[in-house]
Amino acid sequence: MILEIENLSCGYPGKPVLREVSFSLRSGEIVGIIGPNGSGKTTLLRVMTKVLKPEQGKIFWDRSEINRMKFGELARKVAVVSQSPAIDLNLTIEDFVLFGRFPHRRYFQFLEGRRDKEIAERAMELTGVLEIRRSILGNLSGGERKLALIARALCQEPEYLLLDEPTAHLDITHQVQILDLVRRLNRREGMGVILVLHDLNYASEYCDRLVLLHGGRLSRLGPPDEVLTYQIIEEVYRTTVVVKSNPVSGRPFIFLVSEEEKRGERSSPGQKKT
Amino acid sequence: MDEKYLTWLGWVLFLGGILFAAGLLALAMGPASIPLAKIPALLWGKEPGIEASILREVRLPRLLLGFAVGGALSVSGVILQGMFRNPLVEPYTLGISGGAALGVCLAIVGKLNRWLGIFSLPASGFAGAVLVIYLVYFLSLNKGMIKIQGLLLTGVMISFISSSLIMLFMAVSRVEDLHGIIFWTLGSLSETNWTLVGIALSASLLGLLASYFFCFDLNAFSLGEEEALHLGVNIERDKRILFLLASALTGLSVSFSGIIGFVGLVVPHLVRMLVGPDHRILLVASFLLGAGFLILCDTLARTIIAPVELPVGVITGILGGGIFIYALARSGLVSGK
Repeated sequence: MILEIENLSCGYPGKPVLREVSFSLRSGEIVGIIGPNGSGKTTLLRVMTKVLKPEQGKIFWDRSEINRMKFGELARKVAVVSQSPAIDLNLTIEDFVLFGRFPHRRYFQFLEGRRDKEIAERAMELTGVLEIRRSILGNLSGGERKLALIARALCQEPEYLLLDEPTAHLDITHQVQILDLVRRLNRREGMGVILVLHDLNYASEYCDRLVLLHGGRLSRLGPPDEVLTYQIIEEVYRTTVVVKSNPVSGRPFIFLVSEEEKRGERSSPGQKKT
Repeated sequence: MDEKYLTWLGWVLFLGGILFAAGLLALAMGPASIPLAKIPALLWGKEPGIEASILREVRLPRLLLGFAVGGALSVSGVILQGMFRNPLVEPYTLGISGGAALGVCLAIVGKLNRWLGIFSLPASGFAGAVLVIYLVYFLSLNKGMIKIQGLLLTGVMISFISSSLIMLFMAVSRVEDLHGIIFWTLGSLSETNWTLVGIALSASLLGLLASYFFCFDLNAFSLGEEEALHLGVNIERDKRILFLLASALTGLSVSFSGIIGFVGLVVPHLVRMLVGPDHRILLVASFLLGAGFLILCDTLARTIIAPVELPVGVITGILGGGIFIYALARSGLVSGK
């Protein structure tokens, strides 16, 4: 087990978010955290990385209790790609990626060593930003910026990579590019991956197992074809859907059904109802 | 060697050159102008004379104090701007200088030097600075988040309150204390006690050294606190240490030379535009430029309407206030963006 969560409750002052969540994840898999808005996905990610303190319950990474781990120790094990941190700095991609060496630096070490540079270079190569390493962060497109963020996370040499909605605000080219990259990191580099995702079809396509949160509680945990059934989705999301299998991958694919369609009314565009 | 480090070395040499030139100018200029060529001989020679004693007993300690205070205020500004991720934050605008001045003023009125001797002013300046920085921080903390507008407003208000309290003390204090208090509210580098200059110099250089151990932490802070935490920065511990460091540097500066505003704002702002946002170079470059800037301002203050001497705080206030307004307009805080 890489990650064990025992009876976790957590939230913000006056607003409990997660309630009595317990589950554990195996190593070597891509896990998706899904659930409606406000179900506690991002909170779960934040409490797993020590940004938030749990009110009760325990979290273990590789059997180490999170409160006993120093921040640097955690950063060498787990790297986080946040959704949209403000990084409009006047920094080049290369310098930004080198920030990822922070948890590995020694006292009295103020300049990057050759090894630091090699690791940063490899991280930029894996994410495909090596050619634009001298570009300034503030001038990048959303997709390039996300890749730079992932490169910085890889530069931490983590065992586990946590991504908070990595596809948000990106076009489909970049969405697929980033999720393919994540899968490659998992399959070829053996990196454990936890993704917070809104898009259920991406979750179905790329994840080995899914953690479904509902109202701050764990609703389901299992492979996509067990979690993404129309009964479960309608129960949790309160939306009518049709689930078929993707003709290419055979994984569940979710079709939306509008309220009108459900009632069998089909209105033409621009027509006022009489 | 790496291209980046070579550029940094170039900046250090360039700013060091500016500092050196400012130092020479400060030694040469004054009511009695001394030719540059004679300065080395007068400084290191044994010959007595008016010019030699002006140099060694008046201008040199003043130059070194300017170096120490200018550097310390700039480093303090870099630390605060780095932590709050805002170019408008500095010891003066956060009210730390005001708090330190109030502490110093209390020490003068309360005759603290009877117990603490020569350390009474530095100690009380430091205490005032620490008190204010925590006060400002906790007053502008809203649901665990710092609102930068609130922070600046609270700081300015604390400055007002401290200067009002200082005026209150002035109104009720004896004539002999009055002069000392006025001196501290205006800011001046005319302290020529070599022991105090020595303390200021070593404290300032130690402060630079100590803050340099946090250069990577400050870099991480520039991505935001949560990102810094993800990189393994113990942000709560770092904030405590850096607050203490910034207030120590400010408190000591104020206790030696009074309130000299905006050095910690202007210098880091300029340096960031020149050398970029990496704190490894930002800290050193700001120290050098800050020292040079204050020495130049002081020379200007001494000579502009000689033989009358202007308080150096007036010069930095006018220059710095203008640059503050410019930076404020550019940052979009005023237009509500």
